[in-house]
Amino acid sequence: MFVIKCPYCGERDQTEFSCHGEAHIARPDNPAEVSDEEWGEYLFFRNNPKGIHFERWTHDHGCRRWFNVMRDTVSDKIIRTYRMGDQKPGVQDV
Amino acid sequence: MNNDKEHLSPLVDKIAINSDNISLQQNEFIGKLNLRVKENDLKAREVIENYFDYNLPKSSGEVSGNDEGRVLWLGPNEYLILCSEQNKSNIINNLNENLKTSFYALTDVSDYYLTMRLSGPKSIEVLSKACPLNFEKNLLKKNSCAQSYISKATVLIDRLSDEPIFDISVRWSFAEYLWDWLADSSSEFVISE
Repeated sequence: MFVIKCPYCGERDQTEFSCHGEAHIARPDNPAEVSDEEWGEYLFFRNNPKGIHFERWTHDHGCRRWFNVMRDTVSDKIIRTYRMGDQKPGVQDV
Repeated sequence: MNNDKEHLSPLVDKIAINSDNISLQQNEFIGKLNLRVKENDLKAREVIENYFDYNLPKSSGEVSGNDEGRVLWLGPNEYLILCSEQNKSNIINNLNENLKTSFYALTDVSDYYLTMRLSGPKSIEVLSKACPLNFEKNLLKKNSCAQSYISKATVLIDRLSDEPIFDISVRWSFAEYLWDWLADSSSEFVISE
């Protein structure tokens, strides 16, 4: 069983969760002023690292809250889960 | 009320299970209110707690309440208030009045969910067949709740007693499916006479 620790509910089975792509992507403050290239970068382009990756997940069948996950894409190991709005952990925190 | 139930419930044709090992029945309709209030809004929380005369549940799986009603933890800023149908409008009116200056949401969700009661010494075995919860960590004692799924249906499970008695709330449209699933899964534990 693959267990994920929800920051609110604790350890639950992974089938209760779903992943929604990369985390910590900030919408430009002034959309009207950014170039098409920058807007395209914000809208479409995502990192696809081999190693540490930050993702947004939801606990769909539990508390239905969104939270962030720091995951190693090589080993699939979830290193840390933390609440939305919490400081992004550094790679040195691993 | 009984006529209403027969008229409305998708489970009206279902036969309740009653045996020593496992029982399954549909609950009477009750009032269910969804309350959203910010975690750090201490003032609003105090108003609510004073009104109910007990504290809101603080963490995942907690349930608080008294004889008149119960409040279940659904999320860090979300609660489900269970009350009698007669008392429902009272609670809505009073909370709306008392929380006038606060940021909150109170929604009547009584008709969103049907609740069925699974009880008996084999009930955890039945649930474990298709519910991913760890029953050695969750729903251990009276007044605990957990949200998860059973087979394909998302559910809220509320443990009412230290004996294994579980109230399972499910979306109206999933009720028939879940009932059939629970009845089928229970059948091996029903001892025929």
